[in-house]
Amino acid sequence: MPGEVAEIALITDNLGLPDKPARGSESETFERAKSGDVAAFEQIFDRYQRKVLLTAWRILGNREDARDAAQEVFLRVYKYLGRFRSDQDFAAWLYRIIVNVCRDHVRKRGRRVQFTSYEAEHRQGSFDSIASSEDVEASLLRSQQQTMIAEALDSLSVKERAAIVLRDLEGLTTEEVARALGSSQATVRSQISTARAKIKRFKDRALNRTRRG
Amino acid sequence: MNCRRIEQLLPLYVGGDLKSSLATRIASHLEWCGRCNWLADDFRESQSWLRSYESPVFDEAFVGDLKHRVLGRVAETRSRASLLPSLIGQWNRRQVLALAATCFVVAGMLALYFYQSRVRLNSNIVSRISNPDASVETQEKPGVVTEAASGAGSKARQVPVRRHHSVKPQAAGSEIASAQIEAHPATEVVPHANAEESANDSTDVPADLPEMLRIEIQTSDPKIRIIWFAPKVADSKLNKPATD
Repeated sequence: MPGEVAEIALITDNLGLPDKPARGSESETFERAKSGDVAAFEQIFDRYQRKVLLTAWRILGNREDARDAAQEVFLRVYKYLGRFRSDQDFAAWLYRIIVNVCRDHVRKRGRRVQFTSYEAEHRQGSFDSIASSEDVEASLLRSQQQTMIAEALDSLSVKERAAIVLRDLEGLTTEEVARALGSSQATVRSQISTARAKIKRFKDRALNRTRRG
Repeated sequence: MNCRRIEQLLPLYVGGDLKSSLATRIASHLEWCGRCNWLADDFRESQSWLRSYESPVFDEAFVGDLKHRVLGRVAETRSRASLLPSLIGQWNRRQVLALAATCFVVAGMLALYFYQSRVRLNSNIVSRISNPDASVETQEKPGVVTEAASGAGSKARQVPVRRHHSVKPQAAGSEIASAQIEAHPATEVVPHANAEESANDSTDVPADLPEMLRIEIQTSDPKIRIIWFAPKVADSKLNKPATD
């Protein structure tokens, strides 16, 4: 019966997947870090610093806020590592901390996220230098597009932005996003849907403006 | 499924976030509906546009600075760590709440115990003062609780009494609430109907304080009478008319 098949598919889709266990060497590192080994904690930092910085940057929109958030994330990791179980997925646990820290950061600042422009990031030397073969027009177009994307993300609420960043830019599944945000999958789907619709509208408007200009 | 419903589901459909059964139904709709198909392409384009968002490369100096900050704070935390914070750090929220609730209950019980013992002490004092029959031989003035020494002629310790509330049995026939204000001379002893409570009053000797007013208020409950002692001097000052 097709109805029954759909029902079963729906039920199995709702089942929580088991947490990915930490790999052997990683697990040992976590255990050492839990017992207060700073060298082990340093290893964890080296392994995850890029992921933390990038995710925080995508949610918060600028380097300084991303650095402050990343610092807080690693301090929380150090503080609460004792509660982390080795059968849990460390990345998922880390994403949850990142999202919470970013939310706190935005709340503390009491303002919307300030996305810095592509040019500003480029001036700080954060992006790969544009190849010399690229002509000026292409680089301008690229710069314009990056700025537009930053503005589109800026138009979202913090929750929507966190959901879309984790789902579409970090490539997490809906279930993983829900776990990271501490929400239900239905809520996350709703946030993602709204965010995608808003981004499309923003892009359409921006492109229309560019064509008219 | 109509186009409006499809339009609502398209953002999730293009990202592969729908159940397979629902996605199949939408796909079959898109095969024949040109407008919805065009909209789906638009959403796909928008999604790939978002995914073209470039991430910055954080240089060594930037990451090094972050690492330096984090490890510095970790070292600070380690040096500050003491036994108590480490113990508290292991507790979860429920345990902290349980401890707080226990502390609250214990504090409440202690407060109740002290309150009751104080009330008991006050009622004892008042019952001694307001029972003249037992203290007629030793009491000199009402309004003063005097603790006499056991030996005859020894010096008494005087305790002035300002206000007391006492609960004591009432004689029959006095159900109506009333207020009595009496002035007591220095040697006068207030007569009282109830003489049974005077077992321990032989030790109370009123001291030589100025004249006191004794105000008795009978509450509607025949078993409750409020007795208030006030120095008469204060009253006379209050009643004195202004001479200016």
